Amino acid sequence: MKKITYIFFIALGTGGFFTSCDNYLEDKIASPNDPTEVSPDLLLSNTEVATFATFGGQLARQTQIFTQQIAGTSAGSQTVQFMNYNITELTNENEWEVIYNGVLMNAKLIVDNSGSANPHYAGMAKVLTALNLGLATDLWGDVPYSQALTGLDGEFEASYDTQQSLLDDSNGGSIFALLDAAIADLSRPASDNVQIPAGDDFIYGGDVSKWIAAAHSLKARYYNRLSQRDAAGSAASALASMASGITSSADDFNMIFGPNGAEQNQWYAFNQQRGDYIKMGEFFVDLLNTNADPRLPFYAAQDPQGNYSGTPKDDVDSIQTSNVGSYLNSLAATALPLVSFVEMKFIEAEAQLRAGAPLAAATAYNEAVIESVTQVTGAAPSAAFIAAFAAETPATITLETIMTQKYIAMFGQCEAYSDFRRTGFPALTPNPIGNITTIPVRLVTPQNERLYNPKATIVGDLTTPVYWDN
Amino acid sequence: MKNKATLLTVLLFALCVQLGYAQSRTISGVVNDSETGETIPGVAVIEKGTTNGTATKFDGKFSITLKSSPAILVFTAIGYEAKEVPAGSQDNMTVSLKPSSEQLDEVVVTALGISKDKKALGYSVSSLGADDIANSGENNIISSLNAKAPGIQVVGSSGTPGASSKILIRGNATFTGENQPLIVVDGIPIDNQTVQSSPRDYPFNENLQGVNNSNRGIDINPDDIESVTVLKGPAAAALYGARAGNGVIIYTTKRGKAGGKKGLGVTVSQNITFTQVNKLPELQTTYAQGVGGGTPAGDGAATFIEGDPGADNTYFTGDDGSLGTSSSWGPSMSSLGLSSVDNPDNFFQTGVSSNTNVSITGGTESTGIRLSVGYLKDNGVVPNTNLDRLSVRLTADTKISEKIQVGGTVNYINNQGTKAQNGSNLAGIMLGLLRAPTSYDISQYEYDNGNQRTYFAFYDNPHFTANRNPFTNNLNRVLGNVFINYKVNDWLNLNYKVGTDAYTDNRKQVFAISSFGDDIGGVGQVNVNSLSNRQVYGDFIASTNLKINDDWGFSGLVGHNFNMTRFNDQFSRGRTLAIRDFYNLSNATELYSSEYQKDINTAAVFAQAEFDWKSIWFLTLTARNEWSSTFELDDNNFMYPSVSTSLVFTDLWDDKPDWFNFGKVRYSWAQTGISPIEYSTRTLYTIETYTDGFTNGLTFPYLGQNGFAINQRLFTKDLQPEILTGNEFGLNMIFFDRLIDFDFTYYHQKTSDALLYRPLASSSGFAEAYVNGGEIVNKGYEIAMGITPYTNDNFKWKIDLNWSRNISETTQLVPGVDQFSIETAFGSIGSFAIVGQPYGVFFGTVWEKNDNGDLLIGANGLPIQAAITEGVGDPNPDWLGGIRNTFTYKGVQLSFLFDIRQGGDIWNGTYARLNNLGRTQESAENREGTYLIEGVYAPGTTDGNGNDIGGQANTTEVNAIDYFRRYKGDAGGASEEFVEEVNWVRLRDVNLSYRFNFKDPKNPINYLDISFNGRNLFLITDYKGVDPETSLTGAGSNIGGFDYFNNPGARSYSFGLKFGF
Repeated sequence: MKKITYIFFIALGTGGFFTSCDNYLEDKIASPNDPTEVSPDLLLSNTEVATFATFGGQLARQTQIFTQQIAGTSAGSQTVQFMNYNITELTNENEWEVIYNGVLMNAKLIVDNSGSANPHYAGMAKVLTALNLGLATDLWGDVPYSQALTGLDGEFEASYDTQQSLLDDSNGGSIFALLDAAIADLSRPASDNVQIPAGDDFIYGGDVSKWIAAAHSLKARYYNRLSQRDAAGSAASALASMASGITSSADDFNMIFGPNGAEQNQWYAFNQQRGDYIKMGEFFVDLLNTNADPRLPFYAAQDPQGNYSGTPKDDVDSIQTSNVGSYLNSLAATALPLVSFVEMKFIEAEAQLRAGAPLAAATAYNEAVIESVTQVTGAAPSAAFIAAFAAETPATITLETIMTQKYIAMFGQCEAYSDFRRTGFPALTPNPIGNITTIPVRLVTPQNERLYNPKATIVGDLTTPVYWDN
Repeated sequence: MKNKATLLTVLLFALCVQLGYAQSRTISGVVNDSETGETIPGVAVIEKGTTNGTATKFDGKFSITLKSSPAILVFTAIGYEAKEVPAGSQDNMTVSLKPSSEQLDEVVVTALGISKDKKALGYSVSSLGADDIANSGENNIISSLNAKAPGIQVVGSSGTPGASSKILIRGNATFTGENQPLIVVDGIPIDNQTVQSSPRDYPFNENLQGVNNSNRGIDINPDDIESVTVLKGPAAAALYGARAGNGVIIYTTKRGKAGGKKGLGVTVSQNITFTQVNKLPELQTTYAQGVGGGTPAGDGAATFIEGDPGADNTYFTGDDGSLGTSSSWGPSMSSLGLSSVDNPDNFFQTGVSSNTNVSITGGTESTGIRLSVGYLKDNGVVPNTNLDRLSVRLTADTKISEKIQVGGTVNYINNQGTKAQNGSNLAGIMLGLLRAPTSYDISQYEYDNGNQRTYFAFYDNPHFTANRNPFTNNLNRVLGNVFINYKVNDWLNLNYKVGTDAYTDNRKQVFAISSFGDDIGGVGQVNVNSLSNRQVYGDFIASTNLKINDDWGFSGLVGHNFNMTRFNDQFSRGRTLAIRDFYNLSNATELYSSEYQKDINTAAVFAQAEFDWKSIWFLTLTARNEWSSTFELDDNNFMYPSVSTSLVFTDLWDDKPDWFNFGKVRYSWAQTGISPIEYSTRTLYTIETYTDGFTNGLTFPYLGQNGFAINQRLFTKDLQPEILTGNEFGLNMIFFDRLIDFDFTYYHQKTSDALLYRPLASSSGFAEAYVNGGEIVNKGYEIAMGITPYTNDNFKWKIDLNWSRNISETTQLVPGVDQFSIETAFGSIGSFAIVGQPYGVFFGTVWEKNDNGDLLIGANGLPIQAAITEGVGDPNPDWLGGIRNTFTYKGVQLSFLFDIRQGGDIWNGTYARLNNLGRTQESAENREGTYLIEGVYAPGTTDGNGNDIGGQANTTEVNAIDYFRRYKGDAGGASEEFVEEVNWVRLRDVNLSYRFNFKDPKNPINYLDISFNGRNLFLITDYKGVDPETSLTGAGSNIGGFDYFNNPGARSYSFGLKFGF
């Protein structure tokens, strides 16, 4: 009996301890470190910054190495791989992740969570989606979109949309439809919104009219991308879209950077942190030298001899050559274009030429070159330069002329790589000691998609062209 | 306890002995202890060669009737060395038995601090004594276990002061949680985390950067440790529940003893230790910094390039002569007329360290007290690195009454030091040092303007980083516990114990202006990091001991415990310093702060029932139900049961041979768990950092705005604990009067419902989802053996062997996932869980091969990297062994421990990069020659004439530079090329000591020990880098086997004096 009493008291004491157990445990479940809900302004600023990381980071460097505007050196084991076309399924996993997880997923959350209450936020999210999805399909061809981004519903596998369907404007899931929806959202009156973007929109400070123009310009970019599939239609659609697009360089759709460590232009940060990993490309510097192009001192820094020189495509040890210059590199806060007026002018020139309007083509081209030089150098080009490179006539204008100057103007941007693949200009010679004998025409499916998405369309061959690269 | 157990066993032992016929003459006598003179009850007295025997009574007296003549009597008792005495013709004899150091009936501390007779245990434990800890020569109570017990793997991260040591028992049991065992000191779990200092905007695996931080076990002064018990399997650790999935290490500290010798005992010891680097990669001293070499053209094609910041001594200004190059593919030193510099040799120093310990013990009839003060001043091989540890520990126990005993401990520790950068960062010691060309003497490291002088404008001069970029920390820690024990009556005992472990660690990392450690080009940076951890633990145990009847005994306990952990990490970073050499956040023009807090509460109730039958058969059942705040409330408690049993079969064996002293089989089955990591049940929004891995990337605050993204880790609410189910079988046998003690264990441990960050294709919108569903199996063998090949009164030779093999396998992941990266490592190689393969296998880039395994070679003569990555190595050792020999001759003791490791791979990324840069000795041996890589031309390869030569043997020779860059180096070499299998034999420690005993009572000194300890005095291994006991990721990480400019290991020589007063 006595034993039972003791046991009873022990049990009571033990049990009593747990009467307050629920608070003891419940109070510690919620994280003190991260919120469970956020407003659309916070998601928008995130989505824009992720976009800057995508367009200003490795994809830009890597594709610029492919187009020989810059060169990777043996100072960095990774940049050597780009030079040698040694691109594996691991190479661009991170970039794919930033596009899908950083940009597209958060843009989707803006639309899903607060789109109807805040159409302006939704519109901007859709433009950013189109921009990034466009880059993804340019580089990887068929990519997941219409079935993708369903992780919150427990669905982890997404079948891929063909590039053809993403660039088919009769398809409601196409990039064009997305941009049209964006334009409609952005066109709604401010009074339809609970919350209006302002400083959280780094690109335009909440100016919806500029966003609408950028959306039209982006449509023009992708219509023009179809030049090899539908020469006339692509030209007409591009020109039509462009009419409502960006009309001055002051309104360019830019990446915005800042001086602080976490805000820096990634070209600048890369050169600070990875010295000598990249140099100017020999082909590009030679081209500008030959042309006496006034942009050269801005695009390239002087080499130790005080000249401008580039690293050859097959000599990764040449590091006594020019670094990337002040245009991309001097200031941490340099703004760099995502979609620009200059690009629109070149697209106009190309589309007009294709549409059989060489006069309009030559005019647009000349304007484009002058505008590019002015933007890069801060001054209009000399008369001599204009005479040599910005005085095309309907009789002289050629696609090669347009694309070569566009190649120069697009320095630092992924667009140059798409243009090269599409038009073959400028005529680049592949690295003779590369892993493959041609310049890669795409990137390979990232490893995570191959391993964890059984519905993925896997392409592992760098020489398989994307749909628009016919 | 010991006496009682002794008595019981021997009585049983005696029962098994058939009593002989009463005949012939009778001899009687008394048996006493040779040291104390006290009589010993229960000594078995057997007439040799017969089954005739008896046992001494409670007063130590015996009487036996002899059957043979001349008769020899054998006296055996637990805890004493056996003795044979000729009976002669005497009628009366006094026999003195010498206490034995190894006891058959060892009492070991088990879960929850409960002391148990080792023979009652149904599972394997390893016990170590104070000598084992002291003899290791280590300052870290984790490192000191290295190679001393089977089933344990200890990996130090480097030989620098305070570098963490990671310990694994029977392999890795979890992908995402803690894989190291729970550390318990005097019944209170203590924190043994290794925390890197990194802000929350740091986008990479923080374990790849920074300094070699300490595991917090280092705060415990090894001199305070009395004994260590390693509870290896789930059965041993079952009562610890969800923190015991990886085993438990129980440290018991020295205490003053009540009721013993009165008065004060004082010991003072002083050690001086000299530490040196024990191994470095072989570097060339033939070729200078530069490019273009490594071809048959030799010096003619090579250009000497040396960093020259111009007259202003500042890089990246207009007058820069050259930024330099990281390459040593320049002209030969002789052609330049330069003399070679051995920068590593000039850099490293002999570290001189001092360790002082003073302890005072005292006792009265009812009270025992011990005060100890330890002061360690450890100076490292890297200049300006050190560790200062002050530990003050007071324990007191007192009997308030016959029934109530209270006691407590308070331990204050101050641990401060300076650490050096490690691994993959531009301010890393080894990165700048091993890459430094032989043509550039780095010893002058600073210009008058305060900028660093360095050979390449992007790497820190290691002298500069050691002297100007210190990482300093200052930790204050208090460990305390109190207990009250109430012996209610002769069958019920109540015990309540509460303990705390609280520390704050204030850390500061400085990057001087012009250092590249700041990652943004030498603007100067100061990081201030404050870590605080507080843990409160309490348990209540009611225990009972009942004798059911003559055959059956029962003991049992019920109890509960609670544990509250709060960890806080505040990090502030200031960049772009205005004033040189002034390191305060106020000096920065760009500030960033981050905060992370972790709060975990758990509680449990538990019970244990133990039955024994005649002390021959034992059965123990335990159950624990545990609640944890890391689950959602509706499904937050789990039950962990265990069963273990042991049978002393020799006690059932009627005609057991004499030489077979003892034999026991044991078996156990148990389940324990591993809780999810904190805050893993809800998907949250977080601030992301977007980077491609080459810059620190973009993050918030950004241009004055904040930004949040949905966490790329998807969390769901219905998490289950990981369940570790262990089956263990063991056999313990003792032969030849305990000259051989053999213990064998086989175990099979399966973690089911293992939590993992299930990788997702990014197209799902997420990178990972935290889910249950993995399965890890660890199975293996452990052998421990003690052999005494020779012993006499003055001399003793003892060999202790341990050997263990753990085979791990990831047997299951979630559907659709065959593999995933456990923790991010390097672009070309990672540590993966792959179904059907060992835990943490290397997965990386490989060469293209044909079906015969020949390398496929391109037209350029170089092998081709495959587009798809594959498994390339296994970092888990095949087996580990330790052999200790101990020789004792009077007061002299010599012991040495060989540590043998067979197998287990290391990715030598250091060597790959040094080859690439032309820094290895190997890369200089045939620089003007050519190399032919064995293999066949890849299908479709054409020769100069356009003929298809695919499949033919490669005949295209390559230059040295291409060979060492693109094949043997990381500028194109597949990761598999850099994975090295590691075997080693090392003299882990050697100890020589002599004790002078001063018997004169007037002499205040009772004894003086003089000792020598050597650690890592030799190391035999093929590994081409630093000491392969190395880990870039340290103890804070679940992966290992990566070497990328890791700080080197060390050997040390230590001399000590110890006075006993």
